[in-house]
Amino acid sequence: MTLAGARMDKQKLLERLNEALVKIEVDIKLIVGSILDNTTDQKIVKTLKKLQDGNANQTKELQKLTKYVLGEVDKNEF
Amino acid sequence: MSFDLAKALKELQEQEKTMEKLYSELLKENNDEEVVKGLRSIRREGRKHLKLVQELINHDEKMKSPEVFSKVEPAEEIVLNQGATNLLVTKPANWFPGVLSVLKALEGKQIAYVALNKSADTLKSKIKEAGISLDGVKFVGTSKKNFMGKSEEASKNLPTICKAVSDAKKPIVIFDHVASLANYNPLESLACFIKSMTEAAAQEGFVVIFVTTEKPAQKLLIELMKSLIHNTIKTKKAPIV
Repeated sequence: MTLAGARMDKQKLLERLNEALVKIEVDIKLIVGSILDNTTDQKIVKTLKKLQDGNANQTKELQKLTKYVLGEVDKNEF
Repeated sequence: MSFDLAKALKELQEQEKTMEKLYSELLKENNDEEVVKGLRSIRREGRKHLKLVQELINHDEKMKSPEVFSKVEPAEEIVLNQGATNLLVTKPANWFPGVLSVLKALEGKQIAYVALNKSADTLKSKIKEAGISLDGVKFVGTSKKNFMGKSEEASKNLPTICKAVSDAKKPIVIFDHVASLANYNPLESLACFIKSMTEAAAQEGFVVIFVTTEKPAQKLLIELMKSLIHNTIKTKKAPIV
């Protein structure tokens, strides 16, 4: 793969990682928040809180990954 | 418009499925060791989420059965003499059945319900679904979200709660639940608040029922409440947990 091609792939990967981040931080967060605001069922509350913790971990991992890919872009070694 | 939990859960499931697909596609397209390792870990977490959401969908289906909450039995030993103070402590999972059993025992009476935890609209629809009449129940000071709104500032404003209770002029007042206030107020302020409410109940002759949930972090709050509130309400084990 040419360097130009590799750069494009990295760019695409970064875009998709960003897409995932936005989905977790906006779309999923909004749905979970609205359910939590409207339910009285403690099982649902407990499970969604677990899911929120999981989302926070995913966000961290995605940010780590994004940083790594950005680093590799700079090194042109990806 | 009422909130459609089943629809929201389905939407959540769709989002989680989309995420899982996205990670799988990225895994196919990338072979960098670090990227693959990271994506696998994220996808693993995502798959757990899918399982959790499916569990919630199943649970919601089960709970739709109309008889589930209507099986809750009326709470026992609520003291209704003028100025009486009552306390209901439930496990977090039993909070709503506990509230229902209190309302069932008080059906038809004039009540001011201070909703500190959930919005009045959410509570009203769930209480009605359980077949409990809300005639005579006034949700005091409710805002769009709940009595307190969502802001920390509002939650710190304990005098506003006292005023709303006084303005409601009902012979029975329910505070549901006090643990919510503990998120924003130091124990000392809560102690003053509970004490002033019990004194107001004695002076003005209304009955007060404090509801709270049992959590390790709120051990001191519960001990404090038990020392200030004379009577403990008993509920039978809820049929669902």
